Amino acid sequence: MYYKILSEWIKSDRIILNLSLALLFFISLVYFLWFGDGLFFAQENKSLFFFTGEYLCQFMAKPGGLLEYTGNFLMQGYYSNLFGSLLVSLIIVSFSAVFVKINKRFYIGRSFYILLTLIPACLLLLMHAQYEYYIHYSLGFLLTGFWFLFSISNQNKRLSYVFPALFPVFFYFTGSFAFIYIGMFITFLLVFERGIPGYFFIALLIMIAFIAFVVFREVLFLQPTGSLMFYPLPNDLSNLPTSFYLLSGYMIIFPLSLKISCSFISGSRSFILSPAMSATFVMTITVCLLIKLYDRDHADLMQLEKSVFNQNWDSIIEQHETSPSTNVAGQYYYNLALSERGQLCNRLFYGRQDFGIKSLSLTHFQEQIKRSVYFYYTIGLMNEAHHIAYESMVLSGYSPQNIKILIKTELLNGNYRSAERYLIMLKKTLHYRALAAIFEKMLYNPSMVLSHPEMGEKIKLLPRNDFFITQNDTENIDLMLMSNPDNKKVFEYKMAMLLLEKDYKAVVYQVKRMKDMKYTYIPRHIEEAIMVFINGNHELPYLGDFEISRETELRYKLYLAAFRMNKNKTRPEFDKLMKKNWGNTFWYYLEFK
Amino acid sequence: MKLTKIFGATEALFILIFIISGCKPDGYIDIQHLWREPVIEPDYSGVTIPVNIAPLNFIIKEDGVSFTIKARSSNSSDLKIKSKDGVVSFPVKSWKKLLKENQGQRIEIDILSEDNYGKVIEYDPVYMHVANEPIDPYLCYRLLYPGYESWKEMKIVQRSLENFHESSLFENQLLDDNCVNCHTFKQNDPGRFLLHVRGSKWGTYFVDDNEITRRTLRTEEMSANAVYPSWHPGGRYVVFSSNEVVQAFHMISGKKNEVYDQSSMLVIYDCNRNEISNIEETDTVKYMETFPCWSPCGNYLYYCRAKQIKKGFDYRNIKYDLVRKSFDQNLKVFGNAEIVFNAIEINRSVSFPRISPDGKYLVLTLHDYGTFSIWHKEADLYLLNLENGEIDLMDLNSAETESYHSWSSNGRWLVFSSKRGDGLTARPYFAYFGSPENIGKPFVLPQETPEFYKRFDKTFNIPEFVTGKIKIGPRDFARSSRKKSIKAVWSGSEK
Repeated sequence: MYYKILSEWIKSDRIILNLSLALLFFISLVYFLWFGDGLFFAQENKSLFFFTGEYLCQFMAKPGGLLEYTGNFLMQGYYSNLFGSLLVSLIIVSFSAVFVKINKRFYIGRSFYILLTLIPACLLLLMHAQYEYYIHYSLGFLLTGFWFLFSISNQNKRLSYVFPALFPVFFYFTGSFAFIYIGMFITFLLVFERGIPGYFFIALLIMIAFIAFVVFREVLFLQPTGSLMFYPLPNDLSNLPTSFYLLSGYMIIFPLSLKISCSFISGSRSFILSPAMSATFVMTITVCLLIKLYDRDHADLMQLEKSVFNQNWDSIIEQHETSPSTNVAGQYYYNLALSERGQLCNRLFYGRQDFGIKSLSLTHFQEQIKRSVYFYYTIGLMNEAHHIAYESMVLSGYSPQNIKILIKTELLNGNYRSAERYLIMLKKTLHYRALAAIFEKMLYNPSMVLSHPEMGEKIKLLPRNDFFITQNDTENIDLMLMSNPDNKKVFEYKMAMLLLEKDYKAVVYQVKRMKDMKYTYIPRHIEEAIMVFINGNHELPYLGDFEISRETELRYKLYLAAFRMNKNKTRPEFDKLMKKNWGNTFWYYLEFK
Repeated sequence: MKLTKIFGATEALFILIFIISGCKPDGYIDIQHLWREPVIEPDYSGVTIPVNIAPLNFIIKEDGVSFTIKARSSNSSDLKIKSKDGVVSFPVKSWKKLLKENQGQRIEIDILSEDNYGKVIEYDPVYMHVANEPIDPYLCYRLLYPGYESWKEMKIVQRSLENFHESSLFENQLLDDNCVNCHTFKQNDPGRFLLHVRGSKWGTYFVDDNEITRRTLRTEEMSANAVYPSWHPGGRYVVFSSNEVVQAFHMISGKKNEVYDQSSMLVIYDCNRNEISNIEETDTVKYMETFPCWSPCGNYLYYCRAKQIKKGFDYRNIKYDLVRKSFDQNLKVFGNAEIVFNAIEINRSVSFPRISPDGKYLVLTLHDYGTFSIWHKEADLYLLNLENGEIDLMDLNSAETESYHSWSSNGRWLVFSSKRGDGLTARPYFAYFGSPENIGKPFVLPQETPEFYKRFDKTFNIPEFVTGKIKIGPRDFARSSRKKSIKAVWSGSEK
């Protein structure tokens, strides 16, 4: 009777389990398809996978390297959102499947069957939703689970020693994840193999691990102790999500959980949790946490970064104007896109500007340094763009972003032999060979560079006289303008800088230079600054034969009228009313920002 | 009778085929001769090589689906290789035999290419001259990205010049990823050298017969670190320049980095007494002094000297002369500075003076201005005859940078950094030095995979010959870094 009930339970549990796994796969797939675009882009863009022996050798030189290598190989799939979502979802479900197998090995009670299986997979899903969590960590967990499963699956006493004895091989492949395995297996032995054979096994395992560690450190690999202990985890372990530590701890004490669960199979019946309830509970918590973890601003920023990488300038402008970014990098990308479209002084205030000149060029700190490269590239300071891209390559390895800038800047500077080396590298990748083919045509072919729509334009922006770059971009802009007075991009950046600093007088005094730059009209925001200047009863300097458009004059009259009409209202109300009709003008920025 | 005739005819046919194949190389019948040498990479055509050098593998940059390469000489049997992709890799053993049998002679390399239709092209042979004098068996250099400010991986390696074996001497990941630089040997001695480590494992690591001593040479009296060293041949003293270095970045195309000194002085370190002192300057003019180099006899210290820069200086006006001071080894006393080569007079600047082991010649780098010639495209090597003061541009230069250089222990080989490959990364090139009139065409350090330089994106920095294998390794330096550094004592004049 008891066994009949048990088998029915197992049967019904299996259905619930399969349904839960299918649901988990579905949740994961939908989440990453819907929200994973920016995340996949960010991770795929972090490094380039090269199909070369040298690239493989780099990873073979340290324990755990092959795990990262495999992860990087798979991460190429993130190029496609669909493939990335499928890949991550499959890994999550596979991880769960490993626990199903382990659970089966112990015939644990129905109370915990679902719970113990779903928790690790859900933790993995939560980790994958975070930007600093990489697929090779999941592979590490997956392999650890498999290795543990193999270690406990052998009924033959002698063969049961094989997997623990092969620890050095496992350590070489998985690096620091091998220590989770050690913890897991020791817990297993302590819980299930009590007695002298068990303790002997523990001592043996610790000895093998210790010898492996010493041999790796002193003989086989030129790696410091810290690297041998923690690689392939990041140098700064605080970058890992909390769920990483939770899962590691969970895996280590997992055999103990098994033991406790086993004890319930014949224990108190009152404590039975319904499998369906367990599954619902875990899934609900996971979904809630996924929603909580989702950072909309960051996702938007990643979307902007993707558009910058793909040079979809119009989409950046549209995104920021319809859904303004509150992030300095987001606003920086908007200004960059405006500059690339020649609209910086026409539309600057159509988008949100919260950071003054800080959103025109970014400070050279940590993550921002990689982003700052685009500013220099846009204004034609190719040496500085190259400098930043090169430094990024030295510190973090090749990425699609830095190699693209390196190739372009070397082609623009006529350093074809250096560009050729980068192109050789790029041709060894999966997704960027087509890009390499485009640039390859320009090698040793200056006329091809000149005739390229983007590169040809950039060549016109290059400095004509030498100067040293400084830490101050305001100064760099002036130096660049002196070096190439025809560079409209840098001129507009200068004007944007003055506008954002509300220095409208200085703006007015720069207008006369525009004639030589072949402007046919005064850009909108510059006209707005001139109107403020005139309104201040200042003597208007020579504007280089330019005239203010009637439309701007009329708008300014309307603005002043609205200003006068509403100025008695409370400040928030006043602000709101003015923003509605005049939020995209320099006048509003001057008065209310 | 009939059978005899058949045999006779067959025999005649074989003889005919034999004669034809004997007339044409490798049995090819339709051969077109191109009256030029094939393009090979690296360019090893016409080079002078030492008898003990590793195989000079190369790639044939000509069209063809199969290539036949035959290295031949009057003194030995032919060494024949077939290649489908144009990559030519000589077997080490056969190569060594070939060179040994042709010491002082020349080797001729015949190359034939065959296309898909069986058309064969024969080129003019490529020649290599095998010198009588061997090269030092090891080369030591630092590998790093030719970058700007940042570094991550950095290592110093020793490479056997007789084969392709390379092993690490120092790897910075074992020392907190710190920067390592200025490995300097006492007259090519693998057992006696020093190097600097910056950052958390700070110090100058002196190696003396497998013993590493970590020392702190900078004292309160010094305004900057000890940087460029030169060992006195006696082994007791090391002279360093102590430089305050500034880095700036050019914005014009064709230039990248500018590194210059704001101030620099020479200091002498006594290894026996752990004392460091300044080298007194009697001249009232204040100078910047750098790149010390002892003469092989130890009686002269050569170095580069420029007037101290002042506020508002133009970096393009910083120019260094080559000067020297006499040195009394017993009293540890220096004489007055005398100009050996007045570079300022010709509006140029000197760096890296290196004297041949026989003391007769000095090779220096000459460039337009400043002190950091590796970023100067115009930098070239010049040979100064120390006996008559004549200076000449060396034939081994290229349109790109030639910079750091050093002599082999027998004075017959020069190794120098050249960026002629891609204008960015420096590679070690070797040149035979018979006399000022007899300098061999240089060749790049041979690699097992000849495409190596096309892909390898790091630069070879400070190539130095070593007369044997260095026995210590990265772990020894890591262990030494955990020991306390011994601080040098200042024994010079007050600041």
